[in-house]
Amino acid sequence: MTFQTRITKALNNPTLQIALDRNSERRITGRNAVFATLPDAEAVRDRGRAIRIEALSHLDQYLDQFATNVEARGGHVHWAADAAEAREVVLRLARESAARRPGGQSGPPIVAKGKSMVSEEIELNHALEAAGMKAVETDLGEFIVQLRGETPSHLITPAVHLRREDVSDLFHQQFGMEQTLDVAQMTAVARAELRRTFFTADLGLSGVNFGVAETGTMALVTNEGNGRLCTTVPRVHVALMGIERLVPTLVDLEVMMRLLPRSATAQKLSTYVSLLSGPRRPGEPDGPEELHVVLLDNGRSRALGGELAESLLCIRCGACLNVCPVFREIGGHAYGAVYGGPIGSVVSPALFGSEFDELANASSLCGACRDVCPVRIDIPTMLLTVRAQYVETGQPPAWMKIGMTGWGWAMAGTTRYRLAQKFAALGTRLLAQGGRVRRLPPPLDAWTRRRDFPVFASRTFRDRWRERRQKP
Amino acid sequence: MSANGSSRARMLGAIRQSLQSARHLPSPPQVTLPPPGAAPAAPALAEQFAAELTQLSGRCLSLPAAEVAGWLLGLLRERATTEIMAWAASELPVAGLHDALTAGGIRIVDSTVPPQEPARTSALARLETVTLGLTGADAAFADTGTLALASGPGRPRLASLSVRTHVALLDPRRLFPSWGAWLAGDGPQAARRLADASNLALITGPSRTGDIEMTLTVGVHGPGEVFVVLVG
Repeated sequence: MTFQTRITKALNNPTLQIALDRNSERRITGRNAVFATLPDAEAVRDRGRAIRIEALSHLDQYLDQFATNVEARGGHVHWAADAAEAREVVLRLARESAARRPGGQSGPPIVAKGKSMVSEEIELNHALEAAGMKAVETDLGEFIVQLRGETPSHLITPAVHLRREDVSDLFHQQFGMEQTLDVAQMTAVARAELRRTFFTADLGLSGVNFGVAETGTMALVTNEGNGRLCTTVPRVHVALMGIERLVPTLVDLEVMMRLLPRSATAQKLSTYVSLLSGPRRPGEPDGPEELHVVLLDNGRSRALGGELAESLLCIRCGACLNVCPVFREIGGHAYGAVYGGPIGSVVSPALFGSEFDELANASSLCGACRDVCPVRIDIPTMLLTVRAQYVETGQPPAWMKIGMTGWGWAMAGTTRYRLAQKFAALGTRLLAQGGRVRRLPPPLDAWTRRRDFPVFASRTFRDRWRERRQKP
Repeated sequence: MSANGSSRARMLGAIRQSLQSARHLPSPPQVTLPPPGAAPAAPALAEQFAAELTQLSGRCLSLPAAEVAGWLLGLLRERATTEIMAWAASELPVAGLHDALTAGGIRIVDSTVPPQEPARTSALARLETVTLGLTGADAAFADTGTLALASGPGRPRLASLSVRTHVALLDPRRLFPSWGAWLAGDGPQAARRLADASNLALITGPSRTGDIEMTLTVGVHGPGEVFVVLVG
């Protein structure tokens, strides 16, 4: 399915449109209100940006330091250059942990998954299932999306494309829940279903919001408590972490945490921030016996040296998705990428290559993403860079090349330009009905299928300018 | 060099190479954040902490040490349970609390999860049924209504996690204006020691989700009720 087709499908999906409308405005007003409670907010954003730039500018040193400190605290570090290597590590660890079950407990290895975009990126669920294992998403939104056989449509709220009615239908079919519009009741059903998973899982899997280089600490931010359960109850905890997700110090972490929850969920602080430094220690009553960190490159080191390097500053808050006039109409799935929305339209080509370049076309370049970004990533400029890449690698369709060649020709000389103006004014006037062009001839009718086209002014700006200058 | 060692060298090498040619990383803004202001007086701090926590549907109360046991027994009666998971007596800011609870007919469940099977699985199955957890707290942040709980011997993580109701006893002297103020003001040593715990949980109110239509729902996987008792 092409990007165009996916967009059309999204625009014509009435339940998606309702779901998007019910959420969008509230996210933005909430984010703005909670930023108003942050003292020196603009300076904190600058500081957050500086911290991320510092981490990336010396990423080799900080990553080395981080790994050394994780190991010093008894954790294991796995270096995965690509998705396949990362998947292999997780599969092996799940198998090994399941082998340590008490006698008599058979069945496939069970992996309890906290929210992790990296696990989506490496398509881990698919690999686990192909290997005969059971992967259970434990974040409520991810759980819903997994039951529907879908992928997340938003970095932070994966089920943002669904209405409460859709969730009620789903739980009715899957668990025999009576149909309801009461969200609390649906949540209680999910809690009961997932409880067994936490307590019987062989492996707990999580993402990492920030790794602290100076201590080897991993910060994990959640609200439901599923992340804490995944990293506390199972024998083995595996954390999946993109190599760019570092901050130098614990003091830096605190600065980033003033920004992340506010931007992501309009909270001063998320309900749970887990700071994990190694596995359970001798004498501690509970906690995982083993802690593994999988450091994933998968295009990141290459992106660091390229023109889209700034996109690696992203802290995955999703704020740019919420403010984006395009995302708010088409939702996350239309992008056809793990990372969608404005930042995804840069991150996806940066990490995964030119097949995602066309996503950058789905932007009005209004700049709302840059304004809202907690670390002020210049997304619009990078969208232009990706668009240039798209053209330079010969990806635009023929009609765009022809159109642009014609445009270029007309713009290249004064006479041509004036003639084109006259022609456009005459043409649109001939086609107009009631002052607006309702239908342009093919191939230009693509424009008028969804909206009218304005009639060009009969007197051009050049004409009027000349007249003004002639007046005394 | 081991396989893991060589993949480490290879990945770090790739980063180094990119950094040498990196011309596209922006230069960092030069900005210094003002240090956390002077802490307000203790009563104001406690008031702010309580207000923040209450806003998140957590509950905050002040009790003299001598009244904590009686209050807890009342809460346990209300919640219709006679067993709890708890931090060890030495880790709680109220002396003699375990004994007082036991005398009141409450069973304090052994919350040790042995690493070896099958003891591990059966201990977890037992702990899963406990609905109330009692903990101390190492620090609290007034501006967000947050508790900081470090793991350690005698400090089960599940007591603040797998239960329906979490009761935390807090020495009000451990109240700080903010996370930043704690890092800056508690002596870097103390802050570092705590962050060096294998698990430092910062807890801000009851477990919550907004995943269905952004409708706030409390008590998903973690406790739906959080009580903070300022003991003084």
